[in-house]
Amino acid sequence: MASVRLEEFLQPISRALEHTHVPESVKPYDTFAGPQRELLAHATQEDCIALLKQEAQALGTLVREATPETTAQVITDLVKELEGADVVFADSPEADRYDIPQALAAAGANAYRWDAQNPQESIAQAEKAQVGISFAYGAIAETATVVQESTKNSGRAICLLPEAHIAVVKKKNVVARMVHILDQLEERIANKEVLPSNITFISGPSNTADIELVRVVGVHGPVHAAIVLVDE
Amino acid sequence: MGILYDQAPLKDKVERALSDDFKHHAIETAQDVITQKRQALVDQVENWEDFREKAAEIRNHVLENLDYYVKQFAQNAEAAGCTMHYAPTAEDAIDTILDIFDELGETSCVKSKSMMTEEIGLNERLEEHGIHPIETDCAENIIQTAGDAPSHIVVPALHFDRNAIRDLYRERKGYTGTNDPEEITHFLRTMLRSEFMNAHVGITGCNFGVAETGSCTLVSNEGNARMASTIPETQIIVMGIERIVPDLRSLDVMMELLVRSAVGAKITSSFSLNTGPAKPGEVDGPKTVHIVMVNNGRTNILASKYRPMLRCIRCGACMNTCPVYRHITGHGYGSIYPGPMGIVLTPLLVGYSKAEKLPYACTLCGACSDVCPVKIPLHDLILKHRIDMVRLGYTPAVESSLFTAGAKVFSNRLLYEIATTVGAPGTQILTGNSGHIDSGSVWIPVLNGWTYSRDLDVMKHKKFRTQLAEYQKQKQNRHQDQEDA
Repeated sequence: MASVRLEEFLQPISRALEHTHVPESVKPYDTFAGPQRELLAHATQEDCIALLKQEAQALGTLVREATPETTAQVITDLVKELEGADVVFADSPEADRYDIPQALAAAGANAYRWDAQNPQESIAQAEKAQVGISFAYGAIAETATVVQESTKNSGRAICLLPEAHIAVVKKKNVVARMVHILDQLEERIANKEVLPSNITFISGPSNTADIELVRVVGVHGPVHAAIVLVDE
Repeated sequence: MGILYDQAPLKDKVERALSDDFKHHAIETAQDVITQKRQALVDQVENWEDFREKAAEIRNHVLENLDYYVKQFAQNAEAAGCTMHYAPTAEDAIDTILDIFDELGETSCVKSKSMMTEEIGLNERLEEHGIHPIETDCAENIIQTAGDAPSHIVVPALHFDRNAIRDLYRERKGYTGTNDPEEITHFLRTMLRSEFMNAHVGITGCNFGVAETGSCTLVSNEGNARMASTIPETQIIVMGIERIVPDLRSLDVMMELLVRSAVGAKITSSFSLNTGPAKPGEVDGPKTVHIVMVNNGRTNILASKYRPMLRCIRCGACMNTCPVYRHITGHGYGSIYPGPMGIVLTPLLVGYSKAEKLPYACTLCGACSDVCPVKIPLHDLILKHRIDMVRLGYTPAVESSLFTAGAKVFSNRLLYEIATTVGAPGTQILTGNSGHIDSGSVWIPVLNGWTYSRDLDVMKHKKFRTQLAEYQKQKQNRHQDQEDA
């Protein structure tokens, strides 16, 4: 006997709780209120941007600021700094709105647009690329975290396989704490929106301290991380 | 391997651990480094105690309604497209996972760190069936390559030094580099990258399952958990039934506490929230997600006075602060769950007869309960184990061999001083308000011995870390004096 049916699996749990059956509802518990709302409760947008920059520095994440007009230039400069000859970027409307593909091409980078029609090629290009560029859902100031959703136009591999990851975030989408992003997700669920298959909270380059607690940056994920804050 | 990997008598395990200077020193350093980093961050969070209280409440709420929440989680995960499996025992979980491999016809997989898979002894059983699991967490890979057992739940390979690791990979994996941790880590990156890119099955654990959405979260610094849930077409998630939180919002409180408590950092490099398999048209992410929910004795704990143990979020803070762990290291316990949380959990999972004298590898100083992010009264539960062992007739054997078993640890000067000067809640239970161990506690073998052999100037109300720092300074001064002399 390997797996059992859910009803059968639940029986011993109900018994342990002295329930005659699995209840239809539970006494509500307030997960909204609590200490998570007190921290940074009065942070303004400016405070959040300043905090994000400070925390990013601590993590070793590069931060650049841009306007919609300068974003392409800021990104090509970053790509040069990160020595990216091969670049993979998400097939998002922002990429074109900011003229990123043209700017990368003009700068001599071999830029590949993520292509849901060519899954194998997309993965192969992400593996080959030194730099991956994605457009984040938002960011968290307290931990310099970018919140990245996976979609068919923006695969998980873009922010994971290349040696460097550049996340483009709109300044207005920077929040103080994780709970504020989670609130937004709760609202989307309440509006019957289906969650993306993957939302990753990315904070700095991948790292480990598994050998004698010596911190090493760049394990399975990116070795370098950068955030471009766009003022729009 | 399962829960117990070393069934030698406690005495022997302790002796072995105490005689290994490197291991001993490595754990001391790890405790100091992680504890200091943790404390610095905790001090910055002015309402840290409120976070602990909130987290304990959330976890209690889930446990009090666990049948409801397991059902809600399962139904929502299924609605999101996951294939659900329900395993009452470890054996059932193994069979389920083997069936999935049989059906796929796959003979290897990549794995990210998961205590649940260690608890059910998954790797050995996969190997027995001709399936090769590749551990991709650096520390787990070191342990797997060496054929050794973990010594810590968060940083499991601390007992290997850089030379041993260099030699291990030279001998077994063709490494030609130096003992530099960065060079070794980058070798592992390259070696494991090709394993990831060729993998068809990824096995992961689950830090938190979100009931309202059926999502599973993964917390990782190395990025390997993300790799295991990005490249392979099939992902198998193995999770205990108690991993659940009610909703997405609850994750903030949990993450605030988990990462600071586990590694002394504000956040890990990645925290993934995975809901169902990849959507149609998505290039990467698993096409199929199997979630194996495992009971394996947890309902017995749920029905007992040990229920608070199920709040545990596996951060390891208790072992990082434990004076006994500091000396006997993870290997002294012989269980994949070492330290205070392991002392409580191991007997509940394997029974007193197999867990032997574990509840006695504790000074009841209560330092663990003070740091536990979900406020598990660990030392109190350890005391309850001792009471139950007496009640159930496990005491005679313990009494007869306790002092031979524990002599080295408990007569150790450092341990003794720490244990007897902490004045923590555990000792208060024993002493009441008087500051003296009362006659009601002398039946406890360890304390019995202490009260007879040590004077009772024991219950100063001082913080453990302060005490430790003071002691080490004294020790240093003594060394200095000796050298000067």
